[in-house]
Amino acid sequence: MSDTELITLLRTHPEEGCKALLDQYTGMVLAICRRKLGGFCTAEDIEELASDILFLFWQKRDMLSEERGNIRALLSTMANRRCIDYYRSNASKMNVRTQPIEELSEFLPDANPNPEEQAVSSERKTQLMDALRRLEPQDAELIVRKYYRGETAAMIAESLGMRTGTVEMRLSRIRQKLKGFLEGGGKDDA
Amino acid sequence: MTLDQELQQMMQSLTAQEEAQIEQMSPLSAADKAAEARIRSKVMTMATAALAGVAATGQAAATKSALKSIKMTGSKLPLIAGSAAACAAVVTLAAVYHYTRVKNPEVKNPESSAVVTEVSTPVQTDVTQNTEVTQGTEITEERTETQPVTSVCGAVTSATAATTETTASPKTTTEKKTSGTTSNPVVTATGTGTTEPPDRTTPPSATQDNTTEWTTTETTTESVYHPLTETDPPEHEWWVWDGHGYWDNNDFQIRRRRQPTWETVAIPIPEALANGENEELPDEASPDGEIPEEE
Repeated sequence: MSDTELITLLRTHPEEGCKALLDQYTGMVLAICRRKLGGFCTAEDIEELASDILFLFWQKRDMLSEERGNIRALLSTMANRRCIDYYRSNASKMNVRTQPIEELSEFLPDANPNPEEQAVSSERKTQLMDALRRLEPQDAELIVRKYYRGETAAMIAESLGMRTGTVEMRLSRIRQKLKGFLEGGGKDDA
Repeated sequence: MTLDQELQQMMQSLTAQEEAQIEQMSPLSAADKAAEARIRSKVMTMATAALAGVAATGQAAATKSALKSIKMTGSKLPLIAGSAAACAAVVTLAAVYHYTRVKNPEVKNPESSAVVTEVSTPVQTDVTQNTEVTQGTEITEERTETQPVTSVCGAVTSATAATTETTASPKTTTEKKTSGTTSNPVVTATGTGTTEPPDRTTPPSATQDNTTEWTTTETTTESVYHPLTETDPPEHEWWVWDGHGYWDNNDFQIRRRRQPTWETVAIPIPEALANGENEELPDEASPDGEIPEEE
């Protein structure tokens, strides 16, 4: 279902729209929350936050516009900002040094990159995607779990029945392999 | 920028297509699926509750209107605040209120003794819109005191406007005059039921006579109208609760009219409620329609 169709459904049939929204974007929001807060709070807290983000988005469905509808971008930005809010409101309670907002810039994608930066970024992303595709399936899974799903080494270890140290070591080796792919162009040094 | 940071940034700016490719590289584990299922379930529950909350807000508004209406008509309705039975009864009354749409044709203000008389007269035929008869309104007003009669003046304005609005809608119209005597009325209505009166602003006197003659000139018209719809019914056909209510054993009886006939409807009131003491009704129903706990 396209975002435009989803926005229309959210407006006309809120309950069905909610179901469709969850089917399409629960994974993405959960992944963002894990990436941002994976080492900071528990899995239950992350699930709670992801639920809140999705519900908040659904509540604001009337503000969505079919013409400019890009649910992925909106939801992603909302999730990132909520993660920042969560971090800042809980860091002090947990005796974590609170970073100023400028230092949290990595939480948010660059909203207005200039065309040149955008082109470079786009090219680099294509290279990274190509490099990822060349990895062995089990290596690619570790990268996806770590960087896309935001799982910590401990979570990956528990899920795959490995030791945490082993996971960290394998991740380090996979990064080296990826670097080799990127530097060597099409050369496979694996 | 390290590769670690690059990978993190890349994952934040994936397109839907790239995301699908990434997800193919690592199928969701059972734990991931369970986590997503929990989130879906929780959000759906919250969304459903939110949608139900919207309906509950509407119900609370109806309840509030019903409570005000009961107070306005001066009905002696004993309510036991806080009891489940009272809540059920109030909701029932709220439904009845919507069903009957409390609209009294004309109001004789006991304090000002002002009377509005309206005569329904066929005046126009509109063949092109399949409209045979519409009604004109002749209004006379006699006032014996200098009391403000805002509601009556409002009726005059409303009646004139209503006549204009009904020009295109009715299909067939018949007139019928009825008269009789009603015991224990709270409100005396005289005139036609063909135009929409204003909401009454002055409660009837509690010392009003128990027997009052009444006369109505009624116009019935075929139309498609369901009394539970949100919009007002056509001006030429509406439901009336004349504010008349009394106790019959444990039932609270009201009289309502769908032109041209009158019918009496019994609203079952739980025994506990019927035996209760009169309580001052709260001015404001709480947002969720609850009544404060009885102390």
